[in-house]
Amino acid sequence: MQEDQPILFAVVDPLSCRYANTLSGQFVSGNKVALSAYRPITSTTVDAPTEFAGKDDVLIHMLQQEFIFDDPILRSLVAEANSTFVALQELKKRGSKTEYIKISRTYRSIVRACLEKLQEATVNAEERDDVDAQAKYQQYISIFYSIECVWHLSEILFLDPTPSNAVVPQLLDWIRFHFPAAERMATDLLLLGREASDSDDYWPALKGLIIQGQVDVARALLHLHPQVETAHFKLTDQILKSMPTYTHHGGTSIQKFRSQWQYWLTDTERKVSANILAIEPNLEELIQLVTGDTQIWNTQIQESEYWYEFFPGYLFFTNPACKHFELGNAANTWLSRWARLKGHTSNELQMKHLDRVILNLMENDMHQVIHAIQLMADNQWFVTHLTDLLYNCGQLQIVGENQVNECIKLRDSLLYDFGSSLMSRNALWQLGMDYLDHCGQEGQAALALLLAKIPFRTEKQALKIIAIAQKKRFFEVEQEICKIQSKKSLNEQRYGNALEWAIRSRDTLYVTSIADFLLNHYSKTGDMLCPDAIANIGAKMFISPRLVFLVKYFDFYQFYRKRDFLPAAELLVNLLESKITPEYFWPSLLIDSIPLLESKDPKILSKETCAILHHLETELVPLIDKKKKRLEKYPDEPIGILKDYRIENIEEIINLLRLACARNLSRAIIIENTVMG
Amino acid sequence: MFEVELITADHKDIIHDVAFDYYGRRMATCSSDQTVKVWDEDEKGNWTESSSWKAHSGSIWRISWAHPEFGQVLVTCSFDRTASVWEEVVGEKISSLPTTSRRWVRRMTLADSRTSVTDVKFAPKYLGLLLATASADGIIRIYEAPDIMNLTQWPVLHEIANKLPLSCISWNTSTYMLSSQLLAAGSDETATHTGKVFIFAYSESARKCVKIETVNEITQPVTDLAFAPNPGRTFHMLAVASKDLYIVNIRGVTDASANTKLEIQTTKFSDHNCPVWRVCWNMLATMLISTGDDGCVRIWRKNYTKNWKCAAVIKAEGSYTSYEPSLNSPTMATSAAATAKYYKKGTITNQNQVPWH
Repeated sequence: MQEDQPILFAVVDPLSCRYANTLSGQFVSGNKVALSAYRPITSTTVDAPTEFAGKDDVLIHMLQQEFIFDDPILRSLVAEANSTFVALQELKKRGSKTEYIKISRTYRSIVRACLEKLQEATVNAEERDDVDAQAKYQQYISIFYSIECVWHLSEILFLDPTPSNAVVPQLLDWIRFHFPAAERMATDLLLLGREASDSDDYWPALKGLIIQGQVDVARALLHLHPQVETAHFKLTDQILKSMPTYTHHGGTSIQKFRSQWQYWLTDTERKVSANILAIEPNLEELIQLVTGDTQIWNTQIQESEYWYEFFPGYLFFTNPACKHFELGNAANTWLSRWARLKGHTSNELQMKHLDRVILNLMENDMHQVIHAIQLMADNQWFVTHLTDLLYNCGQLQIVGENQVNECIKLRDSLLYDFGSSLMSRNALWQLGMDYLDHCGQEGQAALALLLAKIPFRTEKQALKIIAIAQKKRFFEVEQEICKIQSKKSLNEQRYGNALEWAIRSRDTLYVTSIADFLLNHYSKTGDMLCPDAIANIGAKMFISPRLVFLVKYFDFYQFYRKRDFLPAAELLVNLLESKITPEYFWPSLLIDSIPLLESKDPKILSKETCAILHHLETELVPLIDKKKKRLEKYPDEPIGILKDYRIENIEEIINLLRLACARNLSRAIIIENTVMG
Repeated sequence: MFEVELITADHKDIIHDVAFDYYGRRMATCSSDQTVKVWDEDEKGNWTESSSWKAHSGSIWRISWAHPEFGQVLVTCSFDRTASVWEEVVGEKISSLPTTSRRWVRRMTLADSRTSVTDVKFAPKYLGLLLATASADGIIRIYEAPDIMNLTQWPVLHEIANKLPLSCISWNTSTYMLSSQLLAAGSDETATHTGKVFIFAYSESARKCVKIETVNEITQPVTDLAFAPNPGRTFHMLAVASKDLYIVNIRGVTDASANTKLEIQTTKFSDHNCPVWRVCWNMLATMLISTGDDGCVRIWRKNYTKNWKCAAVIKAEGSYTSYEPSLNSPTMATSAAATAKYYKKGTITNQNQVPWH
């Protein structure tokens, strides 16, 4: 593969060109690049405004590779080709030749349909006087026309080889499709019937048909001539009719065919030299073409525009049994002749990109072909699909016989690049996934990474990505999206949503931090933020002990509000005993017990009252002492539990609690013992 | 072929760092003018400034985004010896405006350094909300926000002192075949000829972060380094900007006694022919950008045989005159002929520019 020089591109940025400055680049997403002026700094750089501060504009250049598939017509091409691609992968490299040819033709018909639509769009643009759109569509047409042309030839040479490896009849088909002028003229003329020969197109059409090897159509056209019964017409017809044809399924051996051909040729040349045809120069020219007369073909070459335009026809009359492996030599010989006659000093000089790709294909140089078709300005659509097709039907082995492994590497890397470039495009990411799905482990990893990076704005979009992540079993992607949604909701003060998304993420730490946030808020303000969401958590609360605490505390809070004091008291005591109370919540929880303890008819039994007292002394009091000590040590530190608390005087609260406990204990003991008694 | 969109950044002095958020839809810039700007990209691909504020009392060297699951959080570091954590908060909805107001609030100033803080980076999200700073006095500090809902507390988790001044720092994004998270730092010290790239990891036995490796092949001053994102690769890649560009491949290997150690292989790329100042990977680590001292940015591509080649050179030009013709009049023929990857300037003659038929 030839070495490419790096591509040069320039941006205008005066600041970057100032003394001591340079240009710096960063990747954005996909292959987008951000460029800006840069001043090298080191750890010893002294801070001072640069000499150009405020003088030159500070610019950022966003550079992006042109992406053609944003156009609706081309987007539908990508979408249609994508389903063909998937169908191809489903054959799992075990398809039959017919199946692969069918796939290839499907791809080509997609391209052809697209070309038609592009043609229409060009016409529409022309009618609207939209010069830009017109130029754009013309550019697309030139790209996809080339693609179709190369694909067609690749199909002939690699996917649909004939049993005898003869290529000429198929090359003729190919050239007819791409240079249809003669055939079109002939069709019109045949419709004219007897008047056809009066048309100016008559002889050019005949010549064109012969050059493309369409002998039968040419004969039909000859029969329309009024002089068809004259000797020279009869002779011409007879020569054409008697021309032996080599068909790969004809059963004739190649040796036998060659001798037949030689005999016919000698005979024809004898007839031509007898000057029977000299009366009608047009006819003579036709027969000279048929016999491969050097002079006449040289004249034709002068009139051709593309090197390969008359090549298949020439082969048809001079080497009709040409095999695939002989094609390269034949093509090169023809090309040298063509270049010489066209007045080019070297073959290379005037070769256009497509010309060269066609030559490489005929030379069977797949390495070079694949390299060349990467440069087709189609964002790698063609090279990816063709390489993949050749790989799937086992024809890519041609690339490097000693390095069989390279084929799959090449094919996988093309799929990887194409898939990831689609996935980093908003509208096409779902199509991109299919390519990454079929290029091994690295493709899967890239898929997971890119899926997580698809920007989503709405909840619906988030759910869509999650559904795909679930299907692909990318648990981490799902978790990440849930957490992002949760954080987003939290920032927007949609707390219920935040809690639900956090639970959905199944990330214990994350759920805990959200539950902490809600509990903290409650202990500071007495306001429960998202009661409906908490009420609906149910069994999902077991994901985090903190969430269990939140739910249970909320139940207590509900009972209490409904003045259902007995179950409330029971729950509160359970919570105190549960060992899942977060440190910061102790004051809140114990203060909640005061009204229950102070109730005239006791809600809490003596044993439970003792428990409350116990927690007061073993949990809250040490906690307060700890805080106090810390406060003495670091007086500037923000005061956590104590000051935030709604009641200023902590000592008073503690005393209040102790008294409430004592009073309730006395009441409870009296009642309990009375009942006992 | 390239499409170019130009943004006038409105900074009063040179930009030191441009950072993009997780999705590449938000951009943060910091400058010698001591301000930070945040830019948002709309659906049509246009960038607009959404916030701008004076963030430090010295040049701001670097800026880094936290993972979005921690919210919209930035960290900056400056010559003023501090690093600051910023969080975007949603204000009250103003009825006259279609969107709610947003503003960036300083949550914390990390003022432990006694010298210029040269680099700051958030850690990969699976470590929690962690960030690392590097200072000119050679100290790396790793801070952690224990409560991700409250970013006002950032205790120092680890402090690693080094003999050489540090210029840059980077977290590895994957722990494949490694016993711990890797952190790399580079020094731009010029006097000694020892290795300038250091690799740190958490040591379970010492219960702290320790230097486990020095890349001895790179002895010239290092100004930037970056671990590559790692989707499914079996080894780790570190790009290093020094006198030349280096790509360091790091492989975790387990020896017979089940100890993991690093196998390091360094490749040098001298295409710039001058010092390289910055490096940046693309999302999948299939491309790399290097910033040279020659006024050129080079884009490197990995081909299918896993070799790195320079694919494009982007050059800054000082005036518009030579620029406009090539931008405004790409004929149909030249644009179709331009290679698929990048648009070429009209003045460059190359065989590929011969038009398609």
